[in-house]
Amino acid sequence: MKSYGILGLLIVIGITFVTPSVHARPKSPQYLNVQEANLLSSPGFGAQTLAILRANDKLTVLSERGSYLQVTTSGGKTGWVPATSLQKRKLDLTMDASRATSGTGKQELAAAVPGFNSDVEKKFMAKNPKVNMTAVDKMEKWKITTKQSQLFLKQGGLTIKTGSVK
Amino acid sequence: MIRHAAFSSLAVALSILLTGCVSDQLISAAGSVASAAGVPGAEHVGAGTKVIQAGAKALEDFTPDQKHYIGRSIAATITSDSGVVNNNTANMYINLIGQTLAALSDKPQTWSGYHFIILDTDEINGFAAPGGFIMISRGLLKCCKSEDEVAAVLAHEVAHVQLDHGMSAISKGRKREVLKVLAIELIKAQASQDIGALTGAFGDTIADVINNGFKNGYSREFEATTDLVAVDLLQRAGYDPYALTRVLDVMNARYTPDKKGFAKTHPDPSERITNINKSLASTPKGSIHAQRQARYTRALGNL
Repeated sequence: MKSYGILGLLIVIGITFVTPSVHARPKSPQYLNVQEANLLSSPGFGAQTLAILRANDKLTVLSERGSYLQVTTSGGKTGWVPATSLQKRKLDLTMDASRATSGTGKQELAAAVPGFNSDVEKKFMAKNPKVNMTAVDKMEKWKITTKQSQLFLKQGGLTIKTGSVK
Repeated sequence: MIRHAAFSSLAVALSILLTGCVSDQLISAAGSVASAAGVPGAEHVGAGTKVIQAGAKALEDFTPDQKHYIGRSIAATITSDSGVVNNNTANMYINLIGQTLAALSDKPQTWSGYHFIILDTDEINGFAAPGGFIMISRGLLKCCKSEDEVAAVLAHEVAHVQLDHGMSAISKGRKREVLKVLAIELIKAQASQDIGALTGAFGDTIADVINNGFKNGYSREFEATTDLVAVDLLQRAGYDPYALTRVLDVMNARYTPDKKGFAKTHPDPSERITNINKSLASTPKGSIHAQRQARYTRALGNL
């Protein structure tokens, strides 16, 4: 009888430490800090995409599991995103000066946020004529989809370690 | 002159903000300075406060979109200097491995995603620029004899991005100055779109990362931490974690203590091997997988 008790305790400990646990969090708004992200049906690689999220989308955090957060969009959809793709502060997205000055209203001008953006990049390039963006523009176009990754892993006999969501 | 002094005061106020919480009193004080500096709209408390809040936020840290532009220019500087291998099969292959590993990491996304390219040089080097722009030299890939070993090299660079080491190559003094410039220019831009100072600050940031990170390399501690994150990442994907020690063995055979070549940018490989082996104490070694070996040879055999 006693051994069952110990076994039960070990199972509880195993579940607690091997399976990433879900922690409820106080509902707090956070903002997407990457250009684009998938709202996933479950935490981790290979989950189904429920919606496409964009930078500065406001999301309400419901819970966390390992390195993923469960969120609800302003449209009411619930899913998971990587915790590192969210931040508490809304981004002051830098805007190209050309776009900022094209506005006639003072409000639009005031909304323009200067920073390290494509305008500054162009000036940097002009000052450094030996530097060119050809290779970088090319590498930015090489995007591997989740399906391509899954096929690549399968063909290579690679199996994702269970519980790799930390 | 008064305007210049006012901006200096503003910089001081914003420097105070940088060291602690953005309290209402400090925002109010910074607002008064902005008003004195002649920032349009600052005379209206609401607008002034908004401007200062934006300035204070700019002082906190670089945003992901700014890291993206910093990373682009660093990658452009390095690829323009070394040249790149124009072999689409090889580049797509390292992107398949690298982007898959990145997707399994604790930081699966950056502003525009992770991107990998092969540098056209026989020097042994790899570098992860902020934002996920990762460059691997042909020389480093030639130290790899299997896909698992290529994955080990790429996992190490993904780990550098996850740990934000590229941005830490910016000296603390430079970071403070650059963030200050960003904040002041943000406020000044209410009246003007002059981005001259920003361009200067941008150039200084790029130079810091290239000199401190790419040319001189990271500290022994950074490399040790990065190796352990990389080993964990390899295990998540099902690769042999000992692949990293095998690449380091090859590098160790070529290591010269005179600090030339990759020895200039990387700590002694034997120390790193010991560190990794310690972390893998009870982990069984993997074996060569025929399909992986075949596609590795197809993609990188003629590099």
